[in-house]
Amino acid sequence: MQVNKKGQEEIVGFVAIVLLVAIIGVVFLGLMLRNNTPVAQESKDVMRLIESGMQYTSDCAIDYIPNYATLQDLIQKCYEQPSSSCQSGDRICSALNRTLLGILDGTINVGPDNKNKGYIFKTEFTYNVSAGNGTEILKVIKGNCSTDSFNEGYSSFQGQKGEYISTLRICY
Amino acid sequence: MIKTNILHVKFTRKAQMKIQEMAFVLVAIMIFFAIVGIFYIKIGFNGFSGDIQQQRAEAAMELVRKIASTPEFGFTKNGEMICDSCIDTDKVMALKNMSAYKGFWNIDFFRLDYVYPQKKNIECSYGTYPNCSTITLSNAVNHETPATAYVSLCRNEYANNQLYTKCELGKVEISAKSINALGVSNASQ
Repeated sequence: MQVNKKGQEEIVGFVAIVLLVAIIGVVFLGLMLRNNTPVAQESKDVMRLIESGMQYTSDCAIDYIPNYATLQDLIQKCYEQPSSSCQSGDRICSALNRTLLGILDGTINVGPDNKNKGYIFKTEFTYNVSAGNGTEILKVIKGNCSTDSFNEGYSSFQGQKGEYISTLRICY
Repeated sequence: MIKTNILHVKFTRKAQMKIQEMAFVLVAIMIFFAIVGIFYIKIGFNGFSGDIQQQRAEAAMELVRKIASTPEFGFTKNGEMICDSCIDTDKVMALKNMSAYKGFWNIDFFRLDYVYPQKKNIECSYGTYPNCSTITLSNAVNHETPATAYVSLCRNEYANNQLYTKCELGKVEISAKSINALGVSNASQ
């Protein structure tokens, strides 16, 4: 039986190419399906958490009891009158730190084994929102937030001198 | 007798090669399109699933906003709402045992949970309120998985013989047929 060597080589080469392409495709597909692409998205749930947190009534009474300040009041007072104190004698800014950390730690479980790896909360003050370039007045970082996957929300309120914009990023 | 050779076909090796090549090309194309198809379906399904979850969450938040803005739930100070998501727990406690409001909002499941500060893990009643963790207003037997949203749970308290507003951080868990149908119209009636 006469065998066409050239034809055989052609077939073997072609099969090799097909197999190679198929293997590369399968590996590529496997990697794509396994690794979730990093997602950075605005979350209404996070936004609602900040908005609700801003209304939280702290144990810091300003001027008289029971004029207890909300978290929003504490942020404003801490920036505009940093030397002022609560009726209990605590500094406003330390009451702010204590209240804010309590809320964040009470609502977001952070850890390497948890769904949430970390969070960043920050508040900026700006005289004019459209001009941008706000002054960072508060920043809390907990856990690992170096990943590109996070949910972020923001909330703002108007103070006497300008606008306060708070942003919370929850990394997962 | 005439001998015919009409049905005799001569297959050449070159033609066989061509057929085999074509068969391999077809197989390769099929594999390629199968991979692309699986990839497309997977991505499409993920996006669709994410869209549904997001729409359910948004529908729940919209429902919460509507409920919080009703006079029966919203917290008002000097006649004005203090925030979009501030729920008056004193009113909710009053509504809890009013039979006239049973089924009024067409909600299968409605529960308020105190998130921060943490409280004793007990259902609120006239005896335990406000030192309790949950207020369940509606709990139908076969309700769907509830959607959740953060809210402010506010009430009036007294100190030094003066009334003041105390708001705590909470979550509302809500499930209604309208949410599961990605709408809020029925539940807000």
